[in-house]
Amino acid sequence: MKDNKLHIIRKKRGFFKVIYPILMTVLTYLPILMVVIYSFNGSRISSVWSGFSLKWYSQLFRDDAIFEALGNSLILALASSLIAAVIATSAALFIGRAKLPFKWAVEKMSLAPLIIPEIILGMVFLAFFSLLGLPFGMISLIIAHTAFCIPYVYNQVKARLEVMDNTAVEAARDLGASPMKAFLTVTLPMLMPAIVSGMFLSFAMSFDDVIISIFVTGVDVNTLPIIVYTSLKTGVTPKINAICTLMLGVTVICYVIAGIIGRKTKDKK
Amino acid sequence: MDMASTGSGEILQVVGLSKSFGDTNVIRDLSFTVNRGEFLTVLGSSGCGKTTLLRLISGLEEADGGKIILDGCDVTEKEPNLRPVNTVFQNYALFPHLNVFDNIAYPLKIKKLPKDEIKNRVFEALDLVQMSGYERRYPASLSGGQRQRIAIARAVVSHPEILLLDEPLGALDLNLRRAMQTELKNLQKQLGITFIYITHDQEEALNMSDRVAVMKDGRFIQLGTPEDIYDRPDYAYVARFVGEANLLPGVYAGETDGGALVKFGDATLRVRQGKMPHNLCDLVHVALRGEKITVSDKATDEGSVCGTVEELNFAGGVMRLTVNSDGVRITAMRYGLDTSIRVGEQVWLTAPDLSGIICGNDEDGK
Repeated sequence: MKDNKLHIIRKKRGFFKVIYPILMTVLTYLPILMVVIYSFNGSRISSVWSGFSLKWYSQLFRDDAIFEALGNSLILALASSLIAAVIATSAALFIGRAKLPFKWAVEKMSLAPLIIPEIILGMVFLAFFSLLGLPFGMISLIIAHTAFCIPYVYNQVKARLEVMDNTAVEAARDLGASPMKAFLTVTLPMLMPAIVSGMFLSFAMSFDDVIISIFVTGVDVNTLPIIVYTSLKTGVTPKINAICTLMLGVTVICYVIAGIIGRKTKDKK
Repeated sequence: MDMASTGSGEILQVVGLSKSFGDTNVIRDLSFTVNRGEFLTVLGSSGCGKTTLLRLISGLEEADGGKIILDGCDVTEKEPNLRPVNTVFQNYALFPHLNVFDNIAYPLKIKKLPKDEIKNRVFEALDLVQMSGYERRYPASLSGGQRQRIAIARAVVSHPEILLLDEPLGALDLNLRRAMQTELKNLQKQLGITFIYITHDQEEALNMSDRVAVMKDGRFIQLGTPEDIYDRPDYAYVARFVGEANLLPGVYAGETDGGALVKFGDATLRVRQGKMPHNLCDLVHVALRGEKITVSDKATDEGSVCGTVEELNFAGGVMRLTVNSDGVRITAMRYGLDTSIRVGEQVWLTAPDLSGIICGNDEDGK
């Protein structure tokens, strides 16, 4: 009897063991897979499959507006992740070493952009930039993106600093390195994996951001996500599928690189 | 490589050094000198300030008061990178992102030496610590003992005046520790560099050093040769900390030629005078090493004291007897296994003439 009951429980567990991963995969990856597959659809109508074709991709690259938007997106993501890396690393180093009275509050505050709803952030930036009289365009985009990218790098660098052995820096000083030299030859290289992995995360976040971008961009500067979003008004075309597939590719690559770098550092530790 | 600069004279003078963290005085008005080419060990329990002392000498910590004079120059205010002193850290502190070669080459590259010379000196240093062939390995792939060697190579490659070693053998297992003790001592002789070695292990201190400083509460309470420290402890703390001597309370009964008489109940023992002067009938503590005490089943002379065996510990080669004599517990050592003595038996303890020494109270040491 007892054995029988156990058997049933075990069987049930076995059932869930199978069903959960299937549900997860279906819910997340099936829609993505559909988009990817239909980007190679020869038919003009999204829901009808008429054979494999690369024509939407070739159309994409002949579309100047899209090409320009891609350029904008890449410049924006690169610039904001780079600037965010510099600011976030300095901040993490400073806050980590400083003996501030409300250190925990400062640390939590620096993560605010992760928690505040994007639509509010967008509004805030819009209001702020208007107040300053800053023209809307690439500059305002870079400032806003840098702001929400900072926490991604900050988190990575802070986590690394917490486990990093500070005596290595002391050893460098002891062996004749000036504070600057010790920072450049020991601290920075030891932090580099964290900085780079944070930068790739930032790049991915910036590259696919649409809400904040819509608020702070000017009339003449479009990013790839903005093009996708605005073209939805005219229905999902296979071309949009192709853009999405490309964006997906860039984002996935960024996350994978960030993950690999992150794991490598852990192994070394 | 001209490393053997074993001249005489003082390489380091520490004068009235003090340091506190918050309300805690970690180093209190400490003064001492170290001779060129000397192996000085600072021995103390954890929290006595020995690591702070090392960090003050290396410059990683700023002194609150006093002076550190290195090879005639006052370096008290100097940055750590401007002091000709290198440290072997307790956790080795190797650079994880650099391989063994680049780790050892680090101080030479800072000095901007020519590439060929850097290469020669790194390989020489690797050879010195018997780690040739490991230059391409990363610290993460080395064992504790190997990292230790690399840390030492990195610290000596730039020929510092003084090498500071912060419990470098603490993380190694017993056998490796013993082997490394001999190796470190040989290395020091070979290089002729002054070593200041920090440890809480009295065996290390006695085995390797030219002089040992016993540190307590931010001060040296005794500084002397290993023989001094072991055989002629100035204070009760030193006697207890180094080799766990018996501290027997007795009454001072005057001087005799070459020693002093101390009464323990009915027995009177001739012991050596300590550093402190005493008056007749003062209560004094006599430090007496367990291995000096002979145990027998009958009184052998008038200096014998009687007691009951309370405990027997056999620890491979040495047997420890704890004997209770009138409420005073005395530990005696016997070599080899002796089954004739049993717990609860009465025995007589005798110590040879002048084997004990009168120690000062710990309070006087402050």
